[in-house]
Amino acid sequence: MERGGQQRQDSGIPGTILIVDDDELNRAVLDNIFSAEYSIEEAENGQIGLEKLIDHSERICAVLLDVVMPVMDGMEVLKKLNKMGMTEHIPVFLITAESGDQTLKEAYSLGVMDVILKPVVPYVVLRRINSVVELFQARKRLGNKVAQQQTEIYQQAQQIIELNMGMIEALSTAIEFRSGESGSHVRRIHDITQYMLEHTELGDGLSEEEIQHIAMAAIMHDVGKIAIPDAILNKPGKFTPEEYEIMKTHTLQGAVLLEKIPQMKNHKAFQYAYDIARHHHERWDGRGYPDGLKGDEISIWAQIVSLADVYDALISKRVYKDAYQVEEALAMIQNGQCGTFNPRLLESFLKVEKHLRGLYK
Amino acid sequence: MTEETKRELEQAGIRVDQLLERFMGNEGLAERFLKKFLNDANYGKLMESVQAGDPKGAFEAAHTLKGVAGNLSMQPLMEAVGQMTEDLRSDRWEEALSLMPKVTEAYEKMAAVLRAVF
Repeated sequence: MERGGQQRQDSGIPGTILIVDDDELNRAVLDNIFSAEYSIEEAENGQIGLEKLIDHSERICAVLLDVVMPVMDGMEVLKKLNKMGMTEHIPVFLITAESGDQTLKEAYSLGVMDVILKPVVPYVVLRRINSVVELFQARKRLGNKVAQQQTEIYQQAQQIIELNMGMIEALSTAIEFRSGESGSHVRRIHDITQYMLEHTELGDGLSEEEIQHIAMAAIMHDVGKIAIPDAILNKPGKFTPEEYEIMKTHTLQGAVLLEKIPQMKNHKAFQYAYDIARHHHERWDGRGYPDGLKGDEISIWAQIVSLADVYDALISKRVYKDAYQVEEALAMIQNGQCGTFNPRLLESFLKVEKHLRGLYK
Repeated sequence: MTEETKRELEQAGIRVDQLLERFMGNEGLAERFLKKFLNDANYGKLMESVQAGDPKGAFEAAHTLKGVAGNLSMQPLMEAVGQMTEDLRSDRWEEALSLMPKVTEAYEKMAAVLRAVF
């Protein structure tokens, strides 16, 4: 007579009802009512009931609980179940002769789904329990569905981000390619920026998402170079003052270019990208370009990209120079030979520099 | 269960239709438990507790007996024991004692018809 229970069990839905009552007749009556549709487990006191519930919780879809029992009574069981948070996952029904207000109130506050009075009337108890069991199972199915869809959405979002990153990297690399830079330069600026924001106090107050956007924006710091003529961009020797002025405009050109891309303007990273492209050649002492910003007027991310750019230039080989040794490069940075930097920025940089070095192996 | 049996049980105060409904029409199961009632220890325990002046023991026995009577749709017995249970629950010992004869009468009537019929 357990066909129904077996069917539920086989399809992975919990199909067992646990009957906890010290009276054999009570158990027999309830068993008889439910055994057509469910598998039945019985327990003759609260203690045994609790143990069985914990042991078989994944199979049990409802608990029918008597109040007056030896060893551990129903209210005590209920208190324990409530504490464990189990009443939210498995519906508990009080089957009792007690109709006192206090008991009912307490039972409901502990998470009981329904109180059914004894002696039971089968069609009443069947309907009330079936309804709630179905409710719990529908909720569970829905919860699973939602969780599943959330995972799917998250995965898709990740893919979109990766695609965007790829395209931005491609664009920036292509532009840098003109001046003999490689894709790895662009990648390194991204990595250095991200690492410094994630692992030093410079990144305090920024969320993981914001750091990702800043790192992505850092990739585009030199897109303005596309507006600089070849002759200047790839000149092997020193610039004339006029040539230098033109070269400097790659900052403003980069900002203008970014503004012109429609999708870019709406993207969260746009503010950062614009800022970095325009201000990555500003200097802490105010003698940078194009706006002559000073000290903390320069955003922390523009400062970081500025330093990363210098560091990268020093320790990699370029068309116009060989690579410097790391110690020499660090000395040059610290004694102002390559521009002035925020002392706080340098402090954080030096703390993590050994790790950054690893990017160049 | 024969019609005759059902009539006799009904006359003694058992609500037979209600009983069979509670047992989902399973007459065999209902009969089994009716017979078992003759061996139910709770009435005896109730008597003993009353005589020994044990309110706790009396309450437990009365409470359980009420449950059994209820399950078996033994209306008069259930009501009598039910009243006594409430008195015992509220520490009204004297009132509870005074109900004992009524409980005994109802119980004996049940025992008698069950012995006659099964």
